[in-house]
Amino acid sequence: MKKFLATTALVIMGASAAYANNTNIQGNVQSRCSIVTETSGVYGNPTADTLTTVATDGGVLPIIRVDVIQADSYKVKISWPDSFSSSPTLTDSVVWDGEIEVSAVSDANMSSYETDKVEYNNHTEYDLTLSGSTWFKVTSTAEYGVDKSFPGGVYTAIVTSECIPK
Amino acid sequence: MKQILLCIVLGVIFVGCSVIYAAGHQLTPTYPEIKESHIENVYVVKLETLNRREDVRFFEIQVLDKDMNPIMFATTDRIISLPYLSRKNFSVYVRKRDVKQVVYVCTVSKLNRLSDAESNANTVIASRVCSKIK
Repeated sequence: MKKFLATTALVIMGASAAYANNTNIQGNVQSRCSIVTETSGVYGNPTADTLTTVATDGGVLPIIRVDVIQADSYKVKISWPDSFSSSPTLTDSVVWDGEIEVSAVSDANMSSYETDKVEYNNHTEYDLTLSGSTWFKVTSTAEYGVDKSFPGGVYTAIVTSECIPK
Repeated sequence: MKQILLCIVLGVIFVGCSVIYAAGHQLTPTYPEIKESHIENVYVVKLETLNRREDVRFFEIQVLDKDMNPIMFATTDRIISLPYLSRKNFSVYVRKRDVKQVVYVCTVSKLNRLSDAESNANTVIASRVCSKIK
């Protein structure tokens, strides 16, 4: 009898141990969009009246990466700056120009993003029809007055990126 | 041997993913539901935001209509302090009469324009991520 009870106890313990090893890992993949700052841009100053992020003029292009988990859920809107968020006192007007372009994609089928983009004012919209990552580069140029020199000081401009569900 | 190789591959993928998502800002769920709250004539929507931007600590909550115009709402903090790699659940309360107009709830990064300056002339990136009400 004692042997029977001991064997039964061992079997039950074994079964419990087996259950303890069956640990479920649950995950929830849900649609989401992440805006990632890859590179904060820097303005080069090729001439006294120009600030530009173009690399050949000494600038650094801001790079933004947008990741979407599920296809066809989001559009992204990126805007190049049309004013300085901080600068020395400027007494003349600044003429702004810019361009948003796709610089890299995680899926070759995203190559149509660049041709399908919609531009208005200083905004550019892309329809993110595929899941994955898209890298955007931002060209920004500011020209001061008519051949006037930008006064010395710190200049900062804001590039805005938005992820909007469709 | 196969198990060791599998572990190494999974480890590399995990580290890779951690690096890839090193500086993002996100808001979930994408399509939240707006529901009646415990207060009469007030509706509530619950969201979670995650900060993976090391350069940003504060985010502003916005409630917008279909044309991105602001709508009156209440929440505990309109500007939330969200340290790097932390997430926060928040509730947004909207009056019953405004519920039909609410389309987007967004979080916007708040930038410190002086401390973000890395050189004499630079650009900083502001991010706004929105969720759309079902």
